[in-house]
Amino acid sequence: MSKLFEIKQRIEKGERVVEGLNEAKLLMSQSNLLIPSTRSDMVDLQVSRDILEVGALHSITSQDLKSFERYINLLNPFWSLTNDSTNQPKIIALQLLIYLTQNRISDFHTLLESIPIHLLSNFHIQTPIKLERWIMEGSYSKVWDSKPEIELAGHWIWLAFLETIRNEIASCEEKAYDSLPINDAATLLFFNSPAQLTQFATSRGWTISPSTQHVIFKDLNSITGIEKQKFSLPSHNMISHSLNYAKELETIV
Amino acid sequence: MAAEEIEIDQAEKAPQENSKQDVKPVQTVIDEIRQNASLIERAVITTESRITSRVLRTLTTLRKRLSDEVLLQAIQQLGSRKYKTQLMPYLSNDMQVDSSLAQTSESGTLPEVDIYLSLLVLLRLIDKPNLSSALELAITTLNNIQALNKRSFDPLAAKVWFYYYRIHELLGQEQESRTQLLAGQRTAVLRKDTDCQAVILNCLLRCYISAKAYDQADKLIAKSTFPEGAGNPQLARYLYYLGRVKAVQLNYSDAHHNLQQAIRRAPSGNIAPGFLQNAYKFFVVVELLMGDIPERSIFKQQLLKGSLEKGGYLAITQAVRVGDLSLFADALSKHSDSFIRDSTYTLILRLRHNVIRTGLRMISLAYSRIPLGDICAKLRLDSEEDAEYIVAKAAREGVIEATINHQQGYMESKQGGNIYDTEEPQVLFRQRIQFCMDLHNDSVKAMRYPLKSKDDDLAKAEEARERESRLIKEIEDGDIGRGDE
Repeated sequence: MSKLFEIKQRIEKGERVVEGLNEAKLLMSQSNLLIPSTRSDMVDLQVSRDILEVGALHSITSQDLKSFERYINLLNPFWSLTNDSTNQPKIIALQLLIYLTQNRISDFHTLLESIPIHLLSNFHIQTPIKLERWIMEGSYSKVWDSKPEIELAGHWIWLAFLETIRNEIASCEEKAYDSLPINDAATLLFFNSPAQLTQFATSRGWTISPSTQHVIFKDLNSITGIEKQKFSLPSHNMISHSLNYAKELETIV
Repeated sequence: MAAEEIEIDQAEKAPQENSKQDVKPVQTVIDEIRQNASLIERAVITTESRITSRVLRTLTTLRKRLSDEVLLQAIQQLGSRKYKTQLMPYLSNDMQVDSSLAQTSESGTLPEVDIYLSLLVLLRLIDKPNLSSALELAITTLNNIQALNKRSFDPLAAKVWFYYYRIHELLGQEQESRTQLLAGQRTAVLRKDTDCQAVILNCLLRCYISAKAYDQADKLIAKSTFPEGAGNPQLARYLYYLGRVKAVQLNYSDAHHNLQQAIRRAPSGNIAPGFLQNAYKFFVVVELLMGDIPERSIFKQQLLKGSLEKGGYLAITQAVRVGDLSLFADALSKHSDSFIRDSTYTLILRLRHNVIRTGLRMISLAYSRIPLGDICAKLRLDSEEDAEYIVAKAAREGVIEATINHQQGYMESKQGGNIYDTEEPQVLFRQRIQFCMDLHNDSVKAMRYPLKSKDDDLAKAEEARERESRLIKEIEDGDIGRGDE
């Protein structure tokens, strides 16, 4: 196992990480460490855990989400068997953040429930928890303010995150406003210039009136809105339900 | 987590002290055990597992009155020789046992009765508490059941499985029992043993939930089906666990439905107060998360009043109803310990934005036009910017019908439309019809029909049953041979 330890030291310094990880995974599968059990040696477990953690962090820097999730799945049994590691909260927080970026709120909460209580107060894990709360409330400006904390995880995560938030805000605005001045809409959506907004507006199908410099949502509302619903009778539903009632009545009588 | 059972256990322990003091009831308890044993024998002979279930239903009341003395005598009188030597060492042997009574029904002992006696000893060991020997006994009993492999064991085996897991839980090592349970589950499914299947499935779910492995619990639910023939109490448990898993996954309407069904199907309040209290706790929280306010009558029920009020659920509900964030924060910090203990804490944390929403809804109902700054002050939000986003989000989610005027910074509520213009009444009406029909169909299914024109057919049925049991016996004799004769 001294070999694993060497690799660990090497990749923690950041030298030839990919090579080291592949080599380590091969070694681990040979000595049955990829599926750890209580019978395994504690030192071995810790070394392999550390290596996998480096792997998880590395896949974040190389923007490979799939391999990140694979590492997480490998790491879970290690975490339950060994005592806390310094990287664990960091990696869990990253996973939470990624769930938020992908709008997988249900997965987010399932993971959150499984975090031991003493880790919940950890600084790293608090960040995504706070973010989720603000997103659910709609306090998007607070989300924007926590930009530096998210950027710690990586700039590309922040960009993906911003994209999700923007779409959320946009769908809210479509409902809540009839029209908005271009400049205000840009600030609400955290755009630096009106030009960026114009691009975004066309992608969502908003009309921009050039004379008043307003973004207009009203048309959208009237098409998708309540009026349309009111006039269409849900005839198919009604018929199928009535038929169902008739069938049930038949069985009763 | 274990609250529901522990509460029940404690309730049962109290009267047990009393019964130990007076010795007279010993004979009546023994009589009762003997009567149960003969019932089990009848169940085996007529192959009616219903009678065994009836015997098992008396288990809780019997449990309070068990003592070493009672059990020793019962085993002497009823047990087979093999079991006598197996069970005796578990009981304290300092009492003088009347050995003249001993050899009464030696030859006729059925293995089912032996298992029943083991179960009683098991209960006694848990109550003592002597958990390590209880575990040992549970494992030997399960092995015995596996070795004999008869369908008439099923209801008894289910009970033994339940206590097998319970002992692990009391010892604090429930995770270790998982492999065994999974193996047991497989065997039960293969043998179409509905009783064990239901019980083990529930134990597994409980095990996963206590380890907070909601992912695995969800997979287990998806991959397994709850056996249809299992009894109501097990179904209630299953629905309760299902509701909890769904609540964690934000599937509140399913969770609500499951918990409601669990509560309806649970035995009445004086039999399982702990279960009902716990189920109601989750029910209240889920209802709040759905944006509804639980009915006041829930909090007034005698059984729930104490636990819901003391646990802080009443305070939380009030805060959400009024839509006051500071009240909510107060209640949360005051009762956080009890929420963590009930493992509702993370669910309740999610309620925060519901509080804001109800507040907002009340404002939009009361004012036709209100500046964003005022909303901010009323809801105690941090900034006007946030207030604007929050209002916009609430408008999108249909909590309020309002538009924002950004330039002048106010929110304008739309005139509330006539609800009868929408599909809403129809949907509700449909839901109620559906409920009535389900109720009707379920009650039809649950009815037991007496055999047609009772007197004539009874003899025929009896005859058929006899023929059947003879057949079974023949098969068994041919295959296995009865070991204890």
